[in-house]
Amino acid sequence: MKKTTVLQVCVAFVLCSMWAVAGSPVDCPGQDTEGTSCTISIEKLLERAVQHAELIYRFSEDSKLMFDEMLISYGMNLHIPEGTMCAPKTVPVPLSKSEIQEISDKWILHSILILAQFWIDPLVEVQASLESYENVPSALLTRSKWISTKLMSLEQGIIVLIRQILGEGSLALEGPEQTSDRFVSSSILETVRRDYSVIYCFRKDAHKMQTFLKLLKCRQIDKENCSLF
Amino acid sequence: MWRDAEQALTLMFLLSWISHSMCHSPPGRPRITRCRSPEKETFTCWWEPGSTGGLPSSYHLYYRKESSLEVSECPDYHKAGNNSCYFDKRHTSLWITYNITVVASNALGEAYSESVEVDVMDIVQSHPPENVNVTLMQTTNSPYFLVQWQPPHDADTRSGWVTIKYEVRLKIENRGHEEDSDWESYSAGKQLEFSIYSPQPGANYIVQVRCKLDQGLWSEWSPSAFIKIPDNTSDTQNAFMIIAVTLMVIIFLLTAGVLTVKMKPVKHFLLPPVPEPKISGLDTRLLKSGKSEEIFSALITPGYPQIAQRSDRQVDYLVVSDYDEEMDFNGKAHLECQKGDNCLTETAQKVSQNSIQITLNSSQDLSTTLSEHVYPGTVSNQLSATSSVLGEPRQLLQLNCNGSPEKAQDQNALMSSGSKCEIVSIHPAGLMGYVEVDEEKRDQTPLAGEDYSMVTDVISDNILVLQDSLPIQGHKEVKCDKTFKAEETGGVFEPLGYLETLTTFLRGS
Repeated sequence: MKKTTVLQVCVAFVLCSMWAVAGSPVDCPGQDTEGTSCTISIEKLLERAVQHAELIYRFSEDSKLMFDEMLISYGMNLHIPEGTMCAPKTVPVPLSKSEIQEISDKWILHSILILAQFWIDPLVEVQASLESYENVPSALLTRSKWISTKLMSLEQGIIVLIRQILGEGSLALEGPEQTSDRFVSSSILETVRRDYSVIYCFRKDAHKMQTFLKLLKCRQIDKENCSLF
Repeated sequence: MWRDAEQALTLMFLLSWISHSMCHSPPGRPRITRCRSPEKETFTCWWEPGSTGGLPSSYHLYYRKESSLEVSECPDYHKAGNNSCYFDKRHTSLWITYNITVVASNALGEAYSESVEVDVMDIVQSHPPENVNVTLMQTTNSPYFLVQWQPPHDADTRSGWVTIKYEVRLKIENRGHEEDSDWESYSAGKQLEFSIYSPQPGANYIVQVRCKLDQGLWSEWSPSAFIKIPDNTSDTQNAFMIIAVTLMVIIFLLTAGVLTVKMKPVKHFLLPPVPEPKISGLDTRLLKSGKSEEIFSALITPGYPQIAQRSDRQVDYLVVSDYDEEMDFNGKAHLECQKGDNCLTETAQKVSQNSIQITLNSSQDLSTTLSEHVYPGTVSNQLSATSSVLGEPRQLLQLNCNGSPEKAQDQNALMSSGSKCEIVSIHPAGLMGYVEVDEEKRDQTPLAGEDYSMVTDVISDNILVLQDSLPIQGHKEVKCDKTFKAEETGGVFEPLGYLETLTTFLRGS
């Protein structure tokens, strides 16, 4: 009796999942999907991208604050260490509202994509390195893990957006390959510095991504009211 | 005399001139006090001058952007007032740090302030919201008031450049006292209005709003808005109360009057007389006289007191006694092949199976011995009959000596994980009145006469409560598969004293 019910449940589940995957051509499960048959409206895509970016920025801000507190508890004061000049990207990114007003949608999207792709690997490294700290607040660990995963899905979302808005094909990683400097930690201080600079600089770039996406959304969706023309 | 006066004057003049010139010095170091960006598109920095050194000094602000080496001067010294520098949209870049220094110079020298690193993203503090107004909305039963405001005029929310969040606070103004009540703050999200429900009637409220751009700093509180809640509801309420109270008083008086007139029938109606006890043979008048012997002599008749038949209540209980020589005998008895395929080939000493012997004693002192071998992985069905008495012995009696416990209940002390077996045996005992579970302890030191350190309680003269009376027998691997092969050569069962465990059942449940 039990077996039959379990079997029925399994069959029902399989059928339902198949139906969910194969059906509803309009509503895609998420912006991560690469399915070509999936067409979400650009508004929805942009909204989700904006939400992702806002949350990523907020969590990166929280992470930086938590990292600061942790450093204070260690007795270190890395306030803005001189070495935290964030590495300029190989491609210039607009730095003010007036500059953004001048560039095209294509350039905004490409900038966001470059930023997202740049930070995926360093964040994964930092997240692994954070776990070896003493007394690291667990909230910091969960947030950094969350940020890494969501950044990857944001990157995929941007690719979908590029395909839909600009009609371009699939993009390979543009720009020169980031020579991932295998960071060999010579000392704990260096490791901490490196991690702090990653978090600090990522926070800025997360803010950039969020801002660009919001402006892009304004341009795409609300052309009349948008003051960016 | 004139000459003296002249000399004195000249001297004084000279002295004052000298002292005046001696007070001149290069200026003190200025200090940059703060930098703020109200809308993330421009920003302003203010500084505070050091000592002037007696001479008129001028201030210049120089800045250097993060990525370049070029030093530039402040684009606008006047727009934001004295001792300030205003960077307009053209000169403001986000996400890079500005290195800012203020130089004070006078005729005698210069002084540099400490350099300040500023990233516009971090210094965002908006202007307060504008046009805060409060209106009272009179709905029928629940009046509330609505606070409305406008975003600061310079923040660009339409394009999504900034996202503004608001916060409202209000408090009641007490005119009479010095101490006002505390502010209550409410987060209003991104909306431009906020409703406050259930205001206090007759109170004067002060309302303020502030806002925050993205993750920046909170702005200053807006100018206060005032509102007075009218007081009209209380009058009608008072009248209502008075009328109600008067009515109640009248009703009360009426009932009192009725009661006094018709005392007895009302009393009988409200408080019916209690029937007196009627026991055959007992005369209540005897009670009044107080002679107990007479009363009880009247009571004791051949037919009284009656012994209740209690046939409706069958008390079954388990009697579990401990091991004595009985065990050997019983052990042997149970070593026989009772179930056919599971035979023990060991001697009585090596009881390597799980055996549970349960004695059911009913109130008629019948003793029926239920002996069950609980084989690994099986639950004895007959044991389930006792579940009502034992209170979930089903859990207790599931002993599983395979690798996987059947029901992984860690709190059940009888459960053993791994391949450990425990043996619980319940013996018919004599005149025990409750359940005891004996247990064979292999590795415990025998209690008889030696080690009483494990005793935590003594229940009666032959029952000792031991702590941890159900050890999980660790290292001795008891293979409890179908063919009972006792691996234990050691661990000889020794007759222990009376060992309890009322507590095992309590713990197991």
